[in-house]
Amino acid sequence: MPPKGPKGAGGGGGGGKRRGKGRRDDDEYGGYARKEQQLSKPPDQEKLTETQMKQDVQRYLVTLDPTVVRDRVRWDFNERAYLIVPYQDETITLFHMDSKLVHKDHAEEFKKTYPYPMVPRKQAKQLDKQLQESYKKTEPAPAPVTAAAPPTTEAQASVDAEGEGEEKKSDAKPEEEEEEKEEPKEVTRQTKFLNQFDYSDRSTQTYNNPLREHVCQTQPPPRSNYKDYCNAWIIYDAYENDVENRPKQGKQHGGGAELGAIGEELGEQVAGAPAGEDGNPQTPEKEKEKKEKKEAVRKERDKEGKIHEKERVRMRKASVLEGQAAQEAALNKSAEGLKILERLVMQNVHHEVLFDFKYYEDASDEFRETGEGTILPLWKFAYDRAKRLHVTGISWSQSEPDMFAVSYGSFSFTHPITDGMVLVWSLRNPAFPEQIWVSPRGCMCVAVHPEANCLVAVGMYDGNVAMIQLKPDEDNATSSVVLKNVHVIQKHRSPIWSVKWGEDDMDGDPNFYSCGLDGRIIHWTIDTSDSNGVGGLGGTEICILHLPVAPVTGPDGTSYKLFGCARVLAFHPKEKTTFLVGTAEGNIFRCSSLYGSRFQQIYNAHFLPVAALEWNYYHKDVFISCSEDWTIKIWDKKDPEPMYVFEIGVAILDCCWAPYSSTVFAAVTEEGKTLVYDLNVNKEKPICCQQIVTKKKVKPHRIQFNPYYPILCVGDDRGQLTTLKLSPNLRILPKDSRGAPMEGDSKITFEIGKMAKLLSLVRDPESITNPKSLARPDEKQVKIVLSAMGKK
Amino acid sequence: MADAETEAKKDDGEGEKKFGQYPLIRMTDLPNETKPEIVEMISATVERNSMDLQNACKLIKEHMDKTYGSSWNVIIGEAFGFEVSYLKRHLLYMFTLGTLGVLVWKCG
Repeated sequence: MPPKGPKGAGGGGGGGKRRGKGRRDDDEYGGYARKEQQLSKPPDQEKLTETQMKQDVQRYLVTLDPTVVRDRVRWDFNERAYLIVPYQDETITLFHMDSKLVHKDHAEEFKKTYPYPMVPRKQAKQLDKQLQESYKKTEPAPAPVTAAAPPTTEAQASVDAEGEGEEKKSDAKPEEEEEEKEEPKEVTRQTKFLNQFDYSDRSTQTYNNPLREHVCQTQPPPRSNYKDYCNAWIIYDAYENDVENRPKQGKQHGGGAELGAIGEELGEQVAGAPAGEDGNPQTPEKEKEKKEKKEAVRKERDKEGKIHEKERVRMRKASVLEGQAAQEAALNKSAEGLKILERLVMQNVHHEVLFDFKYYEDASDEFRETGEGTILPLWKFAYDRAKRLHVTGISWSQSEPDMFAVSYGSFSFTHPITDGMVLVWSLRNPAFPEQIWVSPRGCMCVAVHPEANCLVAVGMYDGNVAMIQLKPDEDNATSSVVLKNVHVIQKHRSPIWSVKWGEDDMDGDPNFYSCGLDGRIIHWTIDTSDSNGVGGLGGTEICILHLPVAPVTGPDGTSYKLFGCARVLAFHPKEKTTFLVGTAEGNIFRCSSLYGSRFQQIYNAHFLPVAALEWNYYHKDVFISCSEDWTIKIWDKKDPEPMYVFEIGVAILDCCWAPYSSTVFAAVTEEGKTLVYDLNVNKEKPICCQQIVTKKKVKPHRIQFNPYYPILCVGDDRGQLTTLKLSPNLRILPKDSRGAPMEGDSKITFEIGKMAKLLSLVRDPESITNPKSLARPDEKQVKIVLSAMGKK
Repeated sequence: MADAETEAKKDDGEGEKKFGQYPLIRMTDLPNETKPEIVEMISATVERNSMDLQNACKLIKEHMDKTYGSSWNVIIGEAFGFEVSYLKRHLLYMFTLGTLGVLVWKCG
């Protein structure tokens, strides 16, 4: 067959051009230029279309031997039939090798089946080299290889003899390849090789917890409904309301919720603050302006700015007030601290006086034979606004040993000073009174309630009384509750000379008595049934002092009963219903509050007005009276004649018993001297006579003993108070058998006994009882003696 | 209602301007910390888009959704009645520009 093949035999179309070999052959023939050959088709060639010509026809080359007979049959005698003889392959396998070459397109598919990692050829060679080197380094290197090798040989024992060597190799190769693959990971021969013999897969499944469903739903957030309209008129109304409400709110917001109303008050009260004073007149103006602006057309823009500013100004002012209020509040809080501070400062300033008050005892008293004593001036209390006023009354507080109330007014009725005040002082602060209560009328007398020391009763020049309740933490007395008598009829029509507290009545309400120049004694209680609801003092007249003189005919013929002008009032310390009234005529009436029309006894005491009257603290029958007729008289209530009379020679303006002794009393004279008498020591002369205030210039009007301390307080007509300390001689306290000072009942009885003894001396000078005996003289005996002696 | 009204008036923090020029809260449930910013945002948006209220609504709603959580509803109009269920502390009903009412609430 010609190599070219028949042109027409359905070959690759084309023709001679496609056969390169033909070309060359032609050229070898010496350049025989072959012209383009035309296809010479044999006449019996099949005619095909172009498309059919271009069709690719596939031709296969097979190794089948065409000459081989395939369907050979042979007679089988057993079967007695013709059997096909099986065809025997004529091929002989000379070499067999499993190839590791995989077409790169099919590599992926192959990888799936081939369990060992595959490496490209070049890399495999490199790895091989590395492996060789590592073998040389480490000893056990060849071992695994050789170890691997025998199993392979053993494994391969049963394999085909022809393929043995190759298979060994083939197995070794994958090993090597595996090793090489392992190489890049680690050079050490520690790793296990993944081959089908060494490598085994073992897998486990851990316990997976079963899945469970859990559903939870929270409370939905709360909802509510809202319905409304939106309209032009609703919008308009809303804006109108807002604009109207705005200024009120502005003011409120500025002043603070709680200070809105108070803000203006503060503006008045806070005296020193300039903004406060200015704030009040301006805010109403500003309000007016605001209203005007509101009425005007609001739609200009510049107005808006102005309103803004005004609001800002108002806010600022309000904040100033607020600031002041805050300051006030802060001050009030620190008021207590400030008070203590003030007292400490006073203490430091007057520390010498304080030491004297506490510790100084005049040592020279021991050496005085006549038992005289001295009084040491301590503090002086003066309030500048009270300078021109007279001290009209002093009242120590029974429960607070350092507190006393002083009333200021006027004694000069020709030139009356119309105003007055009540000051409450404390010994701890001589510079400034603790409480101030200013009264438009002069205060004539004052009394501090014995138990509730915040209650002070004041009697005034015009016949009014007032009961002040002092608040402990506020200086300004406008905050203290004041009850005044409200009735016009049931009151004194003339100056009140004395007020004294009585026992609390059945309801526990405090009540007091007052006596005035109109000769009436009025009992005051808190009257809550007042119309204006505030409550005032209601007074009931309990006594009218009728003079024991025949009724005098008036100018028109009617007869008047003359009244005594009461000057002093003294309540018995034990019998609360008995009291003494001293009159301006010099009489002393002993009355009872139970029955008012009659008195128990009248004492024709003095020729001039009775200035002071006081019951003895111990002896229940003894009282003292002093008068401007230069005398001090000590009385036994049973006796119309005084027990003791002291002619001083100067008008006595006040006297009082000492609270620590039944026989000691003090008096102040018009000259400015203070006299202290102790009847136990010296019945005729004072054991102390000392000038307290400057003669002729200042007149001491009042004297009072401090209930606790050995102190006297003297008030003069310059509004000044002087405290004086009594020296030891003046305050001899009784000592019992052991030498310790007597206390309590024994002391009382001793004092009573002392007095009684003195009285008995007076009555019956012959029968001198043993001084040590404390027995009281027999009543009967006394009477007999008296009757025997006859009344003087 | 009247209580809500008076309460609402106190809430207004703007200065005193002429009628309608400032947003006036009619009824609100919003917490005090976020209320002024929301009111400002709404009034600014409405003023900017006073011609296209639908867009204003959209902007407000999207802003509220982004800032305060999903599902806000916004109505802007001149005359409408309504009854809504709202999530507590998420309601605002205010007037602005003198004639417009804005209702913003969140539910769901």
